Amino acid sequence: MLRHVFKIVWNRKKANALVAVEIFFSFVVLVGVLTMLVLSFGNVRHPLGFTSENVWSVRLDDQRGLEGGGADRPVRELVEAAAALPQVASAAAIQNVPYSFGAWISSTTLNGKRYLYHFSGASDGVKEVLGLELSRGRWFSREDDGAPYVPTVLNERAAHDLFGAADPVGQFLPDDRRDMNPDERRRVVGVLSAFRIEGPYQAPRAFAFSRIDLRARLPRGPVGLVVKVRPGTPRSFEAALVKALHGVAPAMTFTVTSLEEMRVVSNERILIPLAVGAVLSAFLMLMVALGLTGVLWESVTRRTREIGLRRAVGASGLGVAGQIVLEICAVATFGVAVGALFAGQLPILHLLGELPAAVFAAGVSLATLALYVFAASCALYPGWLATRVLPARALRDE
Amino acid sequence: MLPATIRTAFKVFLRRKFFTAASLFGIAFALTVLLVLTALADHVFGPRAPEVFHARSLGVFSATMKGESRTMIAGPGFRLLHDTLPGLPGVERASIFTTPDKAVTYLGDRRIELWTKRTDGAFWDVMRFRFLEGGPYSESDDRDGRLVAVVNESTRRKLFGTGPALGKTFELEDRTFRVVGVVPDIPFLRFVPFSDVWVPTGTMKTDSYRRDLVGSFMGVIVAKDRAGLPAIQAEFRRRVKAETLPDPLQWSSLDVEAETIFHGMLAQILGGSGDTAKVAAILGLVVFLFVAIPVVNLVNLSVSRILERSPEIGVRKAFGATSRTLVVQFVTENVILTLAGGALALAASAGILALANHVGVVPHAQFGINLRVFLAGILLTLGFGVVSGAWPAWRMSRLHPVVALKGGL
Repeated sequence: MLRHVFKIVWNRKKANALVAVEIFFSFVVLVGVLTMLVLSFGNVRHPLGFTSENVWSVRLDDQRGLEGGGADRPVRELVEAAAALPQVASAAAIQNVPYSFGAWISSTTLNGKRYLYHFSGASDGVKEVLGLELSRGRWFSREDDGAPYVPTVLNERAAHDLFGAADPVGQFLPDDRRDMNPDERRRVVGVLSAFRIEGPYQAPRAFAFSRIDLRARLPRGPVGLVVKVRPGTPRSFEAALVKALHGVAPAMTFTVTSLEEMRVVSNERILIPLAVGAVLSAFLMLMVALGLTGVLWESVTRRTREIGLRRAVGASGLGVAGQIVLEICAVATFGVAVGALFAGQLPILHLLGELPAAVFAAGVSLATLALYVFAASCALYPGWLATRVLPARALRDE
Repeated sequence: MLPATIRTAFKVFLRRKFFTAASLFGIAFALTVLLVLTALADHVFGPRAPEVFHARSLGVFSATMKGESRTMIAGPGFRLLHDTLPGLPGVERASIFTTPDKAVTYLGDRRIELWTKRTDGAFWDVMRFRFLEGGPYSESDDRDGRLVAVVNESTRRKLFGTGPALGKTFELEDRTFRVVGVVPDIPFLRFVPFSDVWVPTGTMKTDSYRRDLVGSFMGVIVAKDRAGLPAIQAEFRRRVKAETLPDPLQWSSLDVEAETIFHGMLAQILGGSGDTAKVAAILGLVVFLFVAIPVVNLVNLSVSRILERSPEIGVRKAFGATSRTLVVQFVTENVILTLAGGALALAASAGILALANHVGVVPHAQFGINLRVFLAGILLTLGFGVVSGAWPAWRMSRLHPVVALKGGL
């Protein structure tokens, strides 16, 4: 039966080629959109590892540019001034705030390959402000004061990638050489069960916190504050907070943003393009559906005699409709096969980049499935028309 | 001849309403997407005030400093621009200014976020703003760090309500600025001039920004004429090479280019992450698909529509119609259909753009269909109609009359 259908399609290859081309293009669009949807919404199921409720971020700007900064910034005094306010539950210093678009990425060599991870400095209070949870070891504390290494906390992903099944607590990071300056060697003191600084729609990544000791020299580069306010604190408290900070450092400027607002903006940045892409593709598929239906309709009208003959020699209405559906599925197979051939090249040529192959495979499979369902449903109405063909009239139709 | 063709076309459209509707929907959808894209591109790249010297300008927007283990991609720093831009041969004027930064001011209980840009006095010579009130600040205001500001129209409304603002003061980052000028709102996507408030660079609280090679500044130069641009770019490159890098152990190379404003903006929009070629390739593929699918779809529909009329073709050929006549007829039918779709698309895209302006997707954006976009739309429509009509028409016109009369393909 199937061979027979393919033969019919092949015999009319000139007419079917353009339909196959259209299906191939649609397949490419579907693979793109579905892969992005699988990627973004597949990430949501992983735990986030922190909470942004009632957390405000304060950007400190001493207007010294990216290379500026140094030990002389009064960050400890600022943290203490913020924590002293009655509306503030806790305050801490951090280098890289969740949901901010910038990222600090560092690399190390792992098994001869470059291994990238995101990192940030954090003072002891960050665990409380962001509600971090540890699965192994401990968070930074005063017992790290004066340690001859940089205390470091990884997330589970980084711990797994860097140390495998071994217990990372107490180990130095693999690329930190023994001859390095002791205050540059990073030693793991704990592991977070999860930490995804970029938010729920981004892929989970390896992450490392290293301790900022507010009583010692500050790290290079910008440092900001994160402040957890008590529930019910109005947004207008911001002015009082900035005023208190200005009391400590009159020459600095402070920009306060609530992490909840940053979360909304950051999520919109992912969801809006996805929504636009999905809506456009939906319209595109609707257009293709109308086109295919039109083409099949015409082909049923033109093949009235052939269909009539089949009915006359005993084909059932269902059999005739099924043939129309199977034929378009056979044409779709040509389009999908070429599309899958192209898609298969991407992982082989290493063009996927950071996209996990499993996600891409899921996108391709979903697109294939969707396209067959789609093509078959376009054939339903023309197929039904074919069942209405009366053999006696069709055979007389000249 | 032509009126008969058109009359036939309408008869054909009305006879098969489903085909006409399906074709119209496809054409209107494809052209709407293309028109909205054209309007966006025009909004970002088209010449308009205050960027009146677009054609003979160069900009420095991005600097990449590389070391063994790290890469820093940011804007150029003040020192880099101050060392390289002044006195470039063939340059008429040059300006150094910051990327806009969000600043917050409090008005009673209200929190107002204002984009703030710091510029030199020459900025107002490089960008020709239309002033609603007052005028720009000068080079000496910048040198002495006077607390003066130019604000845009919506900031004037937010801070001072209705009525003039000249000479009035407002708080910004803990200091009091005096308004010396008011300009119309600048769209967010015109990122070179865009801001809500413009103040002199000299009002920064410290002057350590003056030591940075990489930072958050931009530079724009206006050449005497367009032909001089390559020579200026070469000289700029030479001057960048002569810069000494900070901390040579950490950093080994500095990569900065003076680009045309168009290239600079393209790079910013495409991510500015150095992956411009990849992003452009993906965008190109997307646009290609959005054109190719509707074209193929329309060709398929046209072929079907014409196949159905093969007896008519047979009769006309048998009575001596030439292939040419038939091709003209089919292409005309297709172009009429496309023009109708184009009209629908114009209405739809005007609606979408108005909605985008109304919702405020992009601050101060005034997307719209101007004459440039309209003409581009007409060209797109005609191209679409001819391309999608020509092949089916040619194929049908070659049918042998006997085969056509029997309804074959």
